[in-house]
Amino acid sequence: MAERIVNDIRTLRFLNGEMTQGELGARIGLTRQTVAAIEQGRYSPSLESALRIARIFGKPVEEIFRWEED
Amino acid sequence: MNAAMREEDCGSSMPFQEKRAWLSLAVTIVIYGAFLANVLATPVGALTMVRFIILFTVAMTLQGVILAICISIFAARDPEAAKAPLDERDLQVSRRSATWAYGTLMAVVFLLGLGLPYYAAVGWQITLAMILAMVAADMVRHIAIIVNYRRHG
Repeated sequence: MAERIVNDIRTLRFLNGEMTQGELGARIGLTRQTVAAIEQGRYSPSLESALRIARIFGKPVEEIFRWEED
Repeated sequence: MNAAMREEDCGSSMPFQEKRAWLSLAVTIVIYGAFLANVLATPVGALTMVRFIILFTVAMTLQGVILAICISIFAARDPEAAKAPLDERDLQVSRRSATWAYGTLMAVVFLLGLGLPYYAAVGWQITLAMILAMVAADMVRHIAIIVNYRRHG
């Protein structure tokens, strides 16, 4: 069975003062479109970006990104 | 509706680099299509190397001018996206696209190397074949950029 990486970034943005994709992108050096692609699971960020995202939301990477079976 | 949702609904979802690729692909097809049609419509004996070079120079100049104008318009409509440095996904797409284009160029040049000695009668035909190989590689690069942005976001 195929697996894909999903994440909770959209929810976490909402819970962190309704942060926009553009604001998150600016803080981690990504464009708004790339943040949107990550949220949709269509692009897997580099380890560095994943760690930056985790640091911004104050959570471990594995709590934000995880495998999910299709 | 919260601010995050509003931004996602209103903002352009197409990356600036993808817009550029669409534009470059369209301009390349139109300009080099017209160039090729013009060259092929001229009888082989009637087309001198000088005329060929003039036609190619006109095509190249037109392409550059049209691209510069259109990209300026895009940039004026979305200055932040135009000024933003390439991020990791942009660089990844760029590398993949260059790889596709390089493979295309190598394959076409290889085939031309096999076929040209038998089919090219005059000098400009060899030059035309090389130009078309480069145009084909450039078109593949633009297509690869579009496909990779679509597939990866």
